[in-house]
Amino acid sequence: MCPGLSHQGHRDGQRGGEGVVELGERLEYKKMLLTGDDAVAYAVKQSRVDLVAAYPITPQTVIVERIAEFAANGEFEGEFVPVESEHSAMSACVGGALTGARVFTATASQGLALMHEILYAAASMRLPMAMAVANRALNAPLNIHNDHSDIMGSRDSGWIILFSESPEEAYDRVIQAFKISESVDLPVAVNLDAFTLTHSAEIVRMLPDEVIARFVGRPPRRPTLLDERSKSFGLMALPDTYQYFKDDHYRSMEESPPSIRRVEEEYKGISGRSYEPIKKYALEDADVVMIMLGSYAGTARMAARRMRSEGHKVGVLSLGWYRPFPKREILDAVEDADTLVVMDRALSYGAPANPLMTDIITMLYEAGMRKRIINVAYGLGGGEFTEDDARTLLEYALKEGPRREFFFYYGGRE
Amino acid sequence: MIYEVRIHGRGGQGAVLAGRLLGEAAMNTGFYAQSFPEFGAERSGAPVTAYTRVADEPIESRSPVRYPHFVLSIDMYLSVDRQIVSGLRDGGIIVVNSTVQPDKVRDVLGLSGRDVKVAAVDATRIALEALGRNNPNTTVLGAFAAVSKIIPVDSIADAARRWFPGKVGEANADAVARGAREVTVV
Repeated sequence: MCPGLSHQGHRDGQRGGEGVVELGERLEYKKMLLTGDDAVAYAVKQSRVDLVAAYPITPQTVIVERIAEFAANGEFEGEFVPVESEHSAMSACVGGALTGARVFTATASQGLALMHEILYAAASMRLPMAMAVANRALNAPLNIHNDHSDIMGSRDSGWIILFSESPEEAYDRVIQAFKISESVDLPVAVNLDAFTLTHSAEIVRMLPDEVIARFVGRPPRRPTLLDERSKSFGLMALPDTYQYFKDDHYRSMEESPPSIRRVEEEYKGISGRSYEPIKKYALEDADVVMIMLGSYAGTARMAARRMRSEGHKVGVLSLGWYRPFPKREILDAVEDADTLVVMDRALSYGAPANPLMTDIITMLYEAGMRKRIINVAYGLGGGEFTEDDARTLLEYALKEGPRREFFFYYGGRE
Repeated sequence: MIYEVRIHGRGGQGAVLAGRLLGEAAMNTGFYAQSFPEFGAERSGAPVTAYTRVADEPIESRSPVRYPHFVLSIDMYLSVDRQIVSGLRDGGIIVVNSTVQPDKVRDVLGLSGRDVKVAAVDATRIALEALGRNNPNTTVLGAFAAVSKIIPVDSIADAARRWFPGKVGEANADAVARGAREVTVV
């Protein structure tokens, strides 16, 4: 048994907090060595979740197992519903959210693909909920390891999409996700890379139960299926009205950044931990900037740090937010760079460019910025990426080369 | 400073848990720690690799360890396989489960003339005596703690006690202590 499970911590039990957190209260935490999956399960346990409906799939399985254990031990106060598929998991979450409950699910890869049609329903019905996605490659060939094909396939479903780079970030982002989703009426997906985060144990500074309970409070009142005057949700909209729903959804996403920022700032108040749309490393005078999503950003920063100490002007930018896309922040950060190395862990077959590359190049074009851009497909299906690999790519980018380039990079092992 | 540790064993012997316990002990000693296995199709008896990083600053790399400062071999037969010393840094240490004296192990592993310490401990025998089963992981950890002097032997024993509550924990703590006492180094 994981020793963390014996930790009962500060039991809360009471409901009805206001969700208002005073900044500057004494910061307290308990250090635990947790995998990303464990960390997410603890975040859910502490966030006063009413309903978890989930189906286990590698590498998310431990999240579901832990929550089931918490439920069996009476440590998780909500309902845990083991369903027979991910399609049902997301459907149960939609139903739960429509009763005003705070809901959570977790999945990966094929599971997220099976949820696909209900993801759109959840988002377009404007239902607050949080989901952890343990990013894993899609079939075929069968592969249980990390890349971002799963979430990129769901990119346009209208969910807010956040990425974490460590188990602690996954913990923090899941807690924030409930509050973000309830403040903008959009569901939030928190990504954590298969194995490199889900199964890697690192120190997580876990906050006390009562601090999290106060932070998340209770979901604000919204129209529900249980209201005294009966209501219907998710009805048909004919061409005369359908577009208005889409317009409204689209605008809510566009207008969501200040609300997300507010939650991040409030979270900093209780944890001392800063979250921003992007993470910047050594960008001020960088000639070459590597742009990353997910857990290998730290590996790239290690390479950049060493190269900086040798006088090379390289930096690393990683995205905490993917949708909404933090355009302004990225543009400000890369304005003076000559060359961008855009690292994609998913492909878009036949497209003008791969997912992250498409976002970056569109953003630059809109801003009238012309840069040399190298797009690299790497780490597919768990392909290895080490500090040496990051260095190889950064050194390549420091040399003269074509304005546009795309290649597959296979990493240390052939 | 950062120390990178690579642990070799076979499925079922506890190599992954050894990495985890080392991480727990490092955390409780005040270090930053990270521990993860090489992910593959795990099955009983197959070679397994696990990694632990111990540092006095936040750990950024999440890639497998390719240039370890320390290599531990939990399995007697892997202890004579030259692949386990791949990438071992100069000034590093290798601790193996072996009945053979460390100078002989050095020869077998092709480490003659290398600036590395070689330590051997008869961990299978100690584990069988202390635990009544062939889980040499905690014994090798004890030996490693004694030789490397970064994480106290007691912290490793405490981590084992916390992981296995009750009698099993005490038996493992005993295995850690015996590993620390009985290890020989050249």
